[in-house]
Amino acid sequence: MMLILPYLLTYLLITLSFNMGQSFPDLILILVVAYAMLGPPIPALGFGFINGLLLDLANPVGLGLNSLLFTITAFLALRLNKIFFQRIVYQYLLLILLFTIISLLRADPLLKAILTILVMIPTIYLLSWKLTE
Amino acid sequence: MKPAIPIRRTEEKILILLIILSTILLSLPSPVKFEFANRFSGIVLYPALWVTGRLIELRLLNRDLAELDRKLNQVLIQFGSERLKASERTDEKPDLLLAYIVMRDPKSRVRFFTINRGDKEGVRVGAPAVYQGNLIGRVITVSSNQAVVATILNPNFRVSIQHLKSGTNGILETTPQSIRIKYFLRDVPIQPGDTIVTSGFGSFAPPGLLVGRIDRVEEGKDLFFQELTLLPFINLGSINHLYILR
Repeated sequence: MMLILPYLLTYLLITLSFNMGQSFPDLILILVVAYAMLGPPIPALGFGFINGLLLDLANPVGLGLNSLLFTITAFLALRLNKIFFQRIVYQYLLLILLFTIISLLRADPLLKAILTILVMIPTIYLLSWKLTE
Repeated sequence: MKPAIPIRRTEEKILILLIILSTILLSLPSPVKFEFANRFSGIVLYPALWVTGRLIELRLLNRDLAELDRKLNQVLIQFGSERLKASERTDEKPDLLLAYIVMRDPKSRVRFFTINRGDKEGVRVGAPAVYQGNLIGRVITVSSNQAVVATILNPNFRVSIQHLKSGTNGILETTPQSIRIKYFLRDVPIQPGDTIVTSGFGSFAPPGLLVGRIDRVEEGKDLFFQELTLLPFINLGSINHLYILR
């Protein structure tokens, strides 16, 4: 269930992002980060890669770029997981900044990146809170 | 404190493998990339692309339909004015503004409509609201982004009307119980089902807009005038958009 459900969610998000245009936050990136933080580590890397590949298939100009970025994102989210257990504010902010840069690399318009960050900040905070419980 | 998920060497190996794979994909020449994407996206992304395609199709159809509806309304209004003044035939198209009904009055749901067009789009107080050549009401208040339309079912709504067959004028006045026609001469023959249109005299509405059909004809007590009751052609409860005549 933990392996299939994220892919179904990805599919839904891809369909949504096709139709919502640029004024839609990058929820797939957030999903990759969330899965890496909550799910098993090895499938999380694959999940990042496949999500990126699915997006690349839709827009083949930069085929491989999204899969590369999402794989690295998933790995960073796995690696930096321990930061959340210490709950130090500046480290938390550093992580947000890191994902902001990834989001900016992915998103063409600034609006999309800003929306992504606005959704990502509470998501990561809630996830870190959940993991420290 | 230990991390909940320890990072192992296997993960790093998989990471390197996936990075290499991504880099290979990135380094492919553009035609190969397109060929690869074309071959797989048709299978893998088929449901997402199918839904997207249908939605785009619906959006385009909706746009075309809105345009056709606007043209139909223009023609119906032109036809209405030609009905009364055949000699003054004009090719000038009325300036119509499509407006969606975003809110209705909570009690009856047909007496006041709030529309999603306002001052910014050129809506003015007193502008007539029409739908398929029928008079729906008039704008009574306007703010920058929305306006309120009092419909012909709103009590105290008044407009100058004309009996289409005889050309006799009268005044339409809505009461809480019915839509009545006042000051309509007693000696004019009129039947239930006869069409009533706007006369255009001294009122906000142009001539020839359909208002409704005669429902009941009563002799009444008045020595000069008949008492008529009218039913509108359009069911105001079922429409979701209208046009403002600018």
